[in-house]
Amino acid sequence: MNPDVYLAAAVAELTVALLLLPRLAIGPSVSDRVVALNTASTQAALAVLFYSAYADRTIYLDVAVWLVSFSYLGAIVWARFLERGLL
Amino acid sequence: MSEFWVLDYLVLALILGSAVLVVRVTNLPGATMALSAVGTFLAVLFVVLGAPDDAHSEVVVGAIALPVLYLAAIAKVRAHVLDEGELREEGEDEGEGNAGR
Repeated sequence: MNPDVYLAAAVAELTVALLLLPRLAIGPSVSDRVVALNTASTQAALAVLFYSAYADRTIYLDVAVWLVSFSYLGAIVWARFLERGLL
Repeated sequence: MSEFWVLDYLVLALILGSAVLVVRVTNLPGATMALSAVGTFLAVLFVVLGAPDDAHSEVVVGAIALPVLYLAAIAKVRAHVLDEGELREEGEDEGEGNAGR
């Protein structure tokens, strides 16, 4: 496939992440901010995946794996912090 | 390297927007989330510039470890104020907790 398609997909993912930033700024509750942050992390990981397909380098896939796994861990940390404020 | 500059400037705009949010958001957990977003998009910038090892370190440190340290600091300050009650004066009643929760 044409590699420019993958680059356009990565640009689209990061554009979605850019549209998520106002929700991170003016979330009425802290739960809206948690959802916006986790969605932005997922979009960043997908952008790294598509950029790895564009650049034809498989070493970048490890970064996407780290991003997704630590996004999940960060969701757990945020939930624990919001439930009991002692972390 | 046809339309590579679009991706580069888009990631830079994301980092700058998140960094502005860190200092503009008045809610303390919201500012910490913006700091985590700065680390995440900085890892994406490292990938775009061709340094995956630095991106690994930036994901672990900038997106997780540093916001967790800030959260631990916020939690300890809140627990200290909540438990000790040093900011409460003598004749004041116990009715007012912290307004942040």
